[in-house]
Amino acid sequence: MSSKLNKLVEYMVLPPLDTELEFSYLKRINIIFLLSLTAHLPIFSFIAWFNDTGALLATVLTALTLVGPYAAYFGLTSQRQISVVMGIASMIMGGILVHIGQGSAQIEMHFYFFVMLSILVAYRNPLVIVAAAGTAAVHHFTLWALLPSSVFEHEAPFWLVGVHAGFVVVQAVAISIVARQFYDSTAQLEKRVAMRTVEVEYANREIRELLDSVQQGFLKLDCFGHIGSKHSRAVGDLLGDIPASKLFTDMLARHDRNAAEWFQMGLDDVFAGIMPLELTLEQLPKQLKSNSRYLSLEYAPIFSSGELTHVVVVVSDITAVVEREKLEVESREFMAIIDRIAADQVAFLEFFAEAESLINKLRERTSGVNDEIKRDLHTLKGNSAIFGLVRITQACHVIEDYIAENNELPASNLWTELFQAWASTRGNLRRLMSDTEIKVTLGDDEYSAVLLAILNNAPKAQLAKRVAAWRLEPTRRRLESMAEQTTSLGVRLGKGELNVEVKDNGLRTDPKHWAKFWSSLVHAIRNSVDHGIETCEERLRQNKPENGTIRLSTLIEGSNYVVSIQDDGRGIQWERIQSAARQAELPSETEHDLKDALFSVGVTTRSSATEISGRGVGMAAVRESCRSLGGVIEVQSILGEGTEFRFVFPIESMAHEMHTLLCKYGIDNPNAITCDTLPWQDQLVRTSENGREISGLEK
Amino acid sequence: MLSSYRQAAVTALLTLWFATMSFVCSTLMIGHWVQLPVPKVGSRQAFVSESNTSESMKWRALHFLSSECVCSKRILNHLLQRDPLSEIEETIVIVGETDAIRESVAGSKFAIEWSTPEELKCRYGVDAAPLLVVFDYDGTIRYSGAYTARKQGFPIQDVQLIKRALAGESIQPLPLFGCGVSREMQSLTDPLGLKKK
Repeated sequence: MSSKLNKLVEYMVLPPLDTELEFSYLKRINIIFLLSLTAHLPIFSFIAWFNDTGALLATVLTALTLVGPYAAYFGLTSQRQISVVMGIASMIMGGILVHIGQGSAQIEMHFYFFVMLSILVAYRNPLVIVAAAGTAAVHHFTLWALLPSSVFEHEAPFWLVGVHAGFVVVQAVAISIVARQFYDSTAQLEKRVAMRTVEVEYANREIRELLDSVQQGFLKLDCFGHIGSKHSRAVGDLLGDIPASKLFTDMLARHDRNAAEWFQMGLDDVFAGIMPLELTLEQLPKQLKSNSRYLSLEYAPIFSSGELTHVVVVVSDITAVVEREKLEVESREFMAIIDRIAADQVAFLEFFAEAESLINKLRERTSGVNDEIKRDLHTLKGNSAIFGLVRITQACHVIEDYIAENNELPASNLWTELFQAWASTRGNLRRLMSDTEIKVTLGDDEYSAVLLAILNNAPKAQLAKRVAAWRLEPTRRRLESMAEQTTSLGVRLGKGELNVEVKDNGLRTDPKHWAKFWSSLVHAIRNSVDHGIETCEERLRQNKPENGTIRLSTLIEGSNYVVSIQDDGRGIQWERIQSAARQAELPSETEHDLKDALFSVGVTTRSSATEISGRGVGMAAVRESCRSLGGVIEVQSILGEGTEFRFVFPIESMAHEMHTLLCKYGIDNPNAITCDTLPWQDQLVRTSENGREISGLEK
Repeated sequence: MLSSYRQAAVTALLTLWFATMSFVCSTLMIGHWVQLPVPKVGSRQAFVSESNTSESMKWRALHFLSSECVCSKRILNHLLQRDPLSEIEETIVIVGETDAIRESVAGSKFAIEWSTPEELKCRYGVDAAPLLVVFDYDGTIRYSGAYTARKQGFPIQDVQLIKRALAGESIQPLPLFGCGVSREMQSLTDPLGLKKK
């Protein structure tokens, strides 16, 4: 018996509140009941007023009834206890309603109890139902105690009262069972949900730990570029906090505005689905510089039901890789410097001196863009490329690109790149040698020849000319250097192995004054290779030798010194020059106009610039340096056969200072010091078969 | 510690609240549940035969109503919507004279008598309302009871009850649920005096 009673109690009394879900559910239901019961106040007052049963009495009684629920809600901590009070209060409300609703509908007002008992199932607690039904029972017992005949009205027998009470009991039992089953099923459901929640949280934690431990930034973007809620911690480390807008472009814009714009346009293309996905992903920005760090950006698409829904961005810190690559580039450059110095120390130092001068000019640049800056940049870029200084070449190219796109000088960061690259190169050079002194190195033959000439009392004029020639540079050295560059340029541009012929005619020039010209001449050579020489296939179609030929020569013509660059390429297409000149708003009517345009700033037949040519700056630099030495440029071109650029100078300009110096001491005939066919040429010391040195003077 | 005191205080308050509200509700209900006493059918009331004359030998129907009783007001409103029956002398006896009721009965063709609880008990032996009592010529009660078959529910059967009584039918009196008029009955049906208006 007692075990059955225990089971009944166990059934009626729920186990302790053990889930947060149930607690919050009960709290929510209690609030709903509290508000509902409060709403009884105006409704009951209205009913009483309407039914003329005492609105004031109804208001007071309803307010007194509300004391219980409010005291419970704010005074009790157990949500279940509060819910029991709500159940009791709902029955008391019913009692008041029956009184104020007296009259023709008084019996109908009793339905309130049955409705409220049913609604109380929402508590999923049989005890609430029992408490409510018990309240009704207490009410009837009190009535019976006060006036027995009120319960047994009409002199009703016990069985009739039993039927009356039976309906309430049956309903209370039925809905108690429903409430308990409701509780059991939902509690199990809640437990299952709680279990699943724990599992999901565990999985989330594992993913979180994984995302927090990786060094790469992982984030997911939707089609608008919004960042998803889950991302690795490294995202914040690499790119900063997620912006309020959640837009990845805003995040990128903090570091690189151009990259952000580029990304947004690219992302639109990715989701537009017009172009192949691989192509559009490939077009998104791949690298980003954030303060002193280099970041790489990789992209991976996410599909759902075959449709692209998101893009995963992987952000990696590649600063170490970039720095290593920089060091490698620097190392390669260093090796190139060594090679160049070993091959032609004088030429390299001249290049270096000129580059230093250009760098200093660029450091003092004004804010506006002008032709001089463009020319200096282009010359620096071209010469740096020839001498294998990749970083300087690239830095110049980036600045040139910026100027071409924006027609203004770039911000200081691009210049800093250039100047840092130069400082590094200069530092490397100083590790090898002094970059400010040009030393004269004598070969054994020359040393012996001069010594013998002195010992043999050779004429002062002869000796002076011979020593003076030491500081003059054979043009062969320059031509051979350019020949080497021409050959490598041909390979780079896919023009095959060019035949480069050098003919110096034994001439020499003053290295100090001619350095700029020789440096700028490389532009003409690059134009010849890039524009003049056809590809091997094209040449074969035109029945030309497969490989093009370029002739580099220095010669004396009368009183002129001529530097010639001749190719057997396609010749100048003058109509294209004419079109380019018109585009640059230059005169283009006469042959002279077109030749002039050929060497003007901004005239190019290329639609886009490369690191080799295409900006319309190089040839203008050649003309500028030519003119500074008092020279003129002649162009001879036959379509399909080739072009010759002739740079014609007065012969005095070959070694002007030396000539002036010698003249001052009564020594004339400048040709004697600018040509290797000097009087003492025949006096060169030769080594005999037995090793004894003899001089021409002795012969 | 403070929390447990507070818990105990709240529990005590709730207990008091529950007991009070249960008692209040019970007392409110008594008036609706208790069957009120009525004069017995067959008993004779002298005041009827005394008032009858040879010219007016009619049966009489008395409607006992109370101005403090909501149930009585509903019956009064119902009566005022018709004229008195011609075959019987109908009188409305109202306990407690108020301006509102005086105004409402001003144009009525019913005979109106104003009374007090004591007078009602003393003269008519009535201490509850609303009550219909039908007397024959010599004052014998032919019907004494309520107007409705269920507690104050529709329909109000005054006309049918009077006509059946006039026809000589023996009518089972309808149980009276309403208001106590005498002090004794009021203390029984409304011990807290909440219903007094």
